[in-house]
Amino acid sequence: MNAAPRLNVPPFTPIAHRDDLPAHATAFLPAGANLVITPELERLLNAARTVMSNRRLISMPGAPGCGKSTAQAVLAAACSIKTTTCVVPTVKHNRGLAFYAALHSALIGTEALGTQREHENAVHRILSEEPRVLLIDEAQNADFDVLCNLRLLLERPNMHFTVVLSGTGITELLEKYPMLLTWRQLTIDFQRLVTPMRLRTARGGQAHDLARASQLIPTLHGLHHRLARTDETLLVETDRVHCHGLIRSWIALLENLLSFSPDSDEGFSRTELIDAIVMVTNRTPPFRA
Amino acid sequence: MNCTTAPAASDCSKATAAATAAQAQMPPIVHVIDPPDPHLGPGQLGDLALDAAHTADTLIVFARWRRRSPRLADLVSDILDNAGRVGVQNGVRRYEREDLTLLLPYLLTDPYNHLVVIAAECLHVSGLDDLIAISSLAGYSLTLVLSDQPAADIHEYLNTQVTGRQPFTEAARHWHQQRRLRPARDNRIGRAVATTTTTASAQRRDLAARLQQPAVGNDAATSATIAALCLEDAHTRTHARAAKHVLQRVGIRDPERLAALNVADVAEDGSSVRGTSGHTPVPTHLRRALQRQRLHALVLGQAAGDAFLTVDGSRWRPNGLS
Repeated sequence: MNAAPRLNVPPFTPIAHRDDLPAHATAFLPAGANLVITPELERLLNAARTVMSNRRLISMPGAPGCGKSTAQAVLAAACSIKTTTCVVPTVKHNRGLAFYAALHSALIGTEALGTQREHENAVHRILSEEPRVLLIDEAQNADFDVLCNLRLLLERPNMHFTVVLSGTGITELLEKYPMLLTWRQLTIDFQRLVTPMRLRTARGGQAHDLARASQLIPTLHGLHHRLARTDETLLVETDRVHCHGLIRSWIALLENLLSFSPDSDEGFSRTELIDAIVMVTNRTPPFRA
Repeated sequence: MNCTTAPAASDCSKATAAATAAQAQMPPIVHVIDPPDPHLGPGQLGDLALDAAHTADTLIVFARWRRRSPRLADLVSDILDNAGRVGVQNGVRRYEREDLTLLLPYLLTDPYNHLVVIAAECLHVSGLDDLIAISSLAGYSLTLVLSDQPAADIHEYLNTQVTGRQPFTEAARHWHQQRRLRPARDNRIGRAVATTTTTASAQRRDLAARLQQPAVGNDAATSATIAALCLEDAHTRTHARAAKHVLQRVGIRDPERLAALNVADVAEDGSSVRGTSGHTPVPTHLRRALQRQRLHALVLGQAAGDAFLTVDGSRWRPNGLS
């Protein structure tokens, strides 16, 4: 049984190209590289609106470098209501104060000072003023108290916000506490890119799940036109020895590759790929291809 | 706005009745409302809070979560905010003491009879124990609304303490009807804070700004007085000073006599002051300030022969109250 939606979320703006995103959200992409709408991202954009309308939690767990923060940026650009991105600081003590100070600062756009209670009360007021999506990144740094109070905040009168959490290992955090678990409605797991070989050798049930996950070759083809012209065997080998299915590693490598011959339109050669890896690691990779 | 200058006679009788009830060790009235259906999503407690916040004699507060111990200092501040007392100048608010007994003088003298605590499981057993004791002493009926299934120890504790238990849907319907049937709450500051349409700090700034303006005419002077009283906190120097002003108004002006005044010299409901020449009656509209100071003495644990005009139980010094 579902209650009537409590937050009016208009239809999302279509996002297909890096130009559809604000400049700060694509600053990490090298020139000429494009945003890739992976299956996870597509699933997120298809399902997020309904979940947000019900003010349920969207969680995006995954290993570092798999595109969670990019997905948040895409969601922020697609959303027609106000969004606020808060990166949870890494601190050992006073994690509650650090979180609320960061959230308060993100909401007002300037550094906020005060006690935890003052920050909390200010956050309550701002979140009751207009509909808003809170995008909380690096949520693994937030402790349970903070997440529980955020969940309880949704129960206060006149609250018009919804929360998207992303971070490494947040599934374990959420599953430990029933209050957070019953809040969650959508989980998009951001995994490392899957190689064709891994797909071919996967067992029956796994293969189906893997096929739904993002694929290495289509993603790299979408990322840059020169990668699309590179021999697929070389790309798979590069991923095996260096990038390990992480988009962030591929983007860093792409910056090096593009610096070798910026004006070329050709695919990358074996030598170029090895040189680029050496630049990053200072070691010659055991390239078999 | 909550009028602190003109207490109703019923408030004084409430305090006396509460004291009598506490002495007779009457069982507290505690209702528990089960958590809402999690499948219906967030916001159901907020709807109940909106209905309850509009009811005249009801204080409503959301507990805040902390895993290792209850946030009682925040609960004290939230209850004072929701009663329209948004000042943070001194005393309990300034030092954030986790002591619910500091609320007693205000719970006893404010025009409320009912306290609703939402997400009550956040208070753990120790906090709930304190809260139930305070409500019982103040003569309040207490409603504990659970936001989630409580831990085993809380569940066990509540089973031994509660006088009634209600499913959430039934309680929500009840409060919705109460909102239509019962008189609306006239404490605008408290209501706005309780329904999150403003914050206590915003109201505090607003009141402080109002005090800065010159008061011209009776209405403006009354408004300024009420603003000052809203900023007044529990157990502050202003608190004792207000009692001193009342004593001066009823004719006890001699500083030595004021200094010699004992706790036992003042009636518990603030209705009279004992002197060498008999009892001096105190007009109804001035009793509240005396009553608060008298109850404050009880909270501090002062003996009958201790000084009455004191901030912290120590001997009164004229400079401290000037």
